[in-house]
Amino acid sequence: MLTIGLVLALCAIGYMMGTRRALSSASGDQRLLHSLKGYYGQNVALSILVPSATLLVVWLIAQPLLINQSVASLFSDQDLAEGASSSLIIQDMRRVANGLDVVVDQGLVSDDAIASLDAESTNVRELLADVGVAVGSDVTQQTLDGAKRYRSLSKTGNFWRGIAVLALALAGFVFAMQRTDKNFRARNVVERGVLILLFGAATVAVLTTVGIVLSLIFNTINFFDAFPAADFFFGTRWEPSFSGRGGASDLGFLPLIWGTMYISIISLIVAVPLGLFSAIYLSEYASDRVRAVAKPMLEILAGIPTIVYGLFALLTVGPLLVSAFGNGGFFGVNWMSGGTAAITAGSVMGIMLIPFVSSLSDDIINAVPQAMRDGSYGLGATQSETIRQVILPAALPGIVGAILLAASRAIGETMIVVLGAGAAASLSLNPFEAMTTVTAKIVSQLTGDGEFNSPETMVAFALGMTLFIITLCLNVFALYIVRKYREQYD
Amino acid sequence: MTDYKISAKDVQVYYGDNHAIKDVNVDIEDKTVTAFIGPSGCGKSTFLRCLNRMNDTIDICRVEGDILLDGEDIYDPSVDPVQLRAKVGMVFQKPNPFPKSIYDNVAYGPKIHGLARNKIELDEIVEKSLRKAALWTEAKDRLHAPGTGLSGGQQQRLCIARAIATAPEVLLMDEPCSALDPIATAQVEELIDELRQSFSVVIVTHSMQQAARVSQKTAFFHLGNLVEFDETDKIFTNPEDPRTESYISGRIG
Ligand SMILES: Nc1ncnc2c1ncn2[C@@H]1O[C@H](COP(=O)(O)OP(=O)(O)OP(=O)(O)O)[C@@H](O)[C@H]1O
Ligand SMILES: [Mg+2]
Repeated sequence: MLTIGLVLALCAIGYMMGTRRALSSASGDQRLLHSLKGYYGQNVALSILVPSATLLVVWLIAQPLLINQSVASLFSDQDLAEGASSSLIIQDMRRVANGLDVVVDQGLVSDDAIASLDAESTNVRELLADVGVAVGSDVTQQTLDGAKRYRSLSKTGNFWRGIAVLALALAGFVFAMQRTDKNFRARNVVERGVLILLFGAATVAVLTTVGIVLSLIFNTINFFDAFPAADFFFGTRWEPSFSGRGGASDLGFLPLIWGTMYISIISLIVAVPLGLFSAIYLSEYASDRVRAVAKPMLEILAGIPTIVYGLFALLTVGPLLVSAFGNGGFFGVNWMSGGTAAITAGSVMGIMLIPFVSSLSDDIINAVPQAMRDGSYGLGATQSETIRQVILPAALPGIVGAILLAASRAIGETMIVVLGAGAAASLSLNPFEAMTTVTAKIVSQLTGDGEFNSPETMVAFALGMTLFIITLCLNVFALYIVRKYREQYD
Repeated sequence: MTDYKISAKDVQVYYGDNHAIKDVNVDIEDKTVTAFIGPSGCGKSTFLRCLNRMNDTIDICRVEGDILLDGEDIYDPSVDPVQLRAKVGMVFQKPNPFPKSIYDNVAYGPKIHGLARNKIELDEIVEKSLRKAALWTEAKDRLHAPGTGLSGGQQQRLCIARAIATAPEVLLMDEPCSALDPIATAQVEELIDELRQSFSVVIVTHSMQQAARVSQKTAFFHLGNLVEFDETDKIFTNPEDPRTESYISGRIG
């Protein structure tokens, strides 16, 4: 923290000194400077900030990795093989190390005394419990040693980190100040600096995406090593057995993708007509006053968190549907036995998608040129003839694109399904039956306390990967259609 | 009194606070071509759009005064603007074919108004309209290609064909030739002359020569006022108002 403060202060000082130095090199006359005086200051500030901030970030990432490695070497391979995985031991140790920090902070034990602590004469667990840090088991000598080593390493690391960052900042300051002179092209250098900053930001975003995709891919490959791909893609039963009880599990993908598609289609049946009609009403019929109220209302619908829709499905729509289609219900049929069913989740998801469909379609309909409408009205067409025969055909490709985008959101939706559709994976045609989707199953596979290395948990990655590919294809296709249509009027 | 096809009395048009047309009185005869000329922004298009109530589609636009078509006030609440526009057709300044095939563009109006009893009649109407608009030879082999794929001038002729396919009684044309080459312009002018046999035509144009060639009556607008309205020959040879005189000789505008 102190380091960051110092660097920022140095930046501020550098800015002012750079500006002043540039001015004085031009004997106070702005016009003699190559660039505006502010650029010289910015140049100094950037020269301080960029290298030192980069170093700080790299250091923050690298230091824990190096320390972990060094501490892990304390343990023999044997210990690792017997006990839990090495990451668990290291986690324990870090906890102890952090606890010791608290102990020192509160003045219970002096910093020097920590070094001579040993697990036999002191009960470290109790000591830590006194300051409110709970440790799972008694602390062994080995863990204690590790914790001590961890503390001392991170202490020196932090110390040198501060020194190195400040030194680099100072070096940047001196270097930039020396270059500051009335002929120095500060503007061009600052432009380049800004470019590098922006490029850096873009790179982080892209690399993160690549990282996510790669981790999905590797984990999926791991899963297929442990579980036959054919059984996954073509299996018709989804019956994972946790804790290795009943032998092998059935991890068939078909019931899940079926549920996903089925629920998505129900939601589109709800969302597309409602969304499209409201878009037509808003863009063609509504007066400005109605539009000023209705559009924000629809947009609010888009801002509701999906978990709230989920509650709505569970508590309102489900019971409502049961009272209509259930035993002794309004229609006198007995089709529905429980509130959680494909139709519950589908219809609520449809409501969620209405604003999505309507605002995209609204934009697309508005993009149809006024001249098209004039041409039609000029021939004596009524408003609905104009909409049906001229505007909708002209906007159709864009609307299809909007629907595809909505579909890909429906496929990726989770919370509504978890709460509204139930958890039974079934290959059923009946919309009144409980169903489940890929996303909902990913959640349920990972919320147990199974270890993260059995096929039952790893399957989450395969599911995620498949889902990702499906929605990616849909999105690409939708964007392609939307873009192709945009070109028509340009 | 009612021998005029259209007669406009004391027409005022406002766009919000902008008084765009002031006190205009014009009588348009049946089976004649009337030209509206005047400098840009003087309100020619605005006035033209009053004649088939196309201004209804602009929220801020307000029209006052009487406009009679065959003696009936077209702004009367009992008049259906949709029916009115079927009788008073319009060709716009910028070609605006629908994103449909050439055939469907022309067949659009007849289909809406039920002018054809069957496919054969519809085909006939389409062919006749395209012929009249001098587009038949170019379009007959690609009737089912999209209308937006035509050149600008061809598109404008398609829009003319589309307008005459509805068999209007009055045809309003807002600078129909501004996107056309001289040959197509000559064809359209010939067409206008021919249309005069059956309907009355009102044409807005920036070309003095065109107004002189095609019209029998000419109205000169200036800053929202109708300055002079008379026989075309008289306007171009012996205008009464000095503003008309300086406009047609190229001093205002
Ligand atoms: N949709 C509109 N909204 C507001 N004002 C308008 C609108 N259309 C036209 N006006 C105004 O009305 C006046 C007359 O415009 P109009 O389009 O009738 O001129 P014009 O004579 O057709 O000109 P041009 O020869 O350039 O086509 C102008 O001052 C214009 O600013
Ligand atoms: Mg105009």
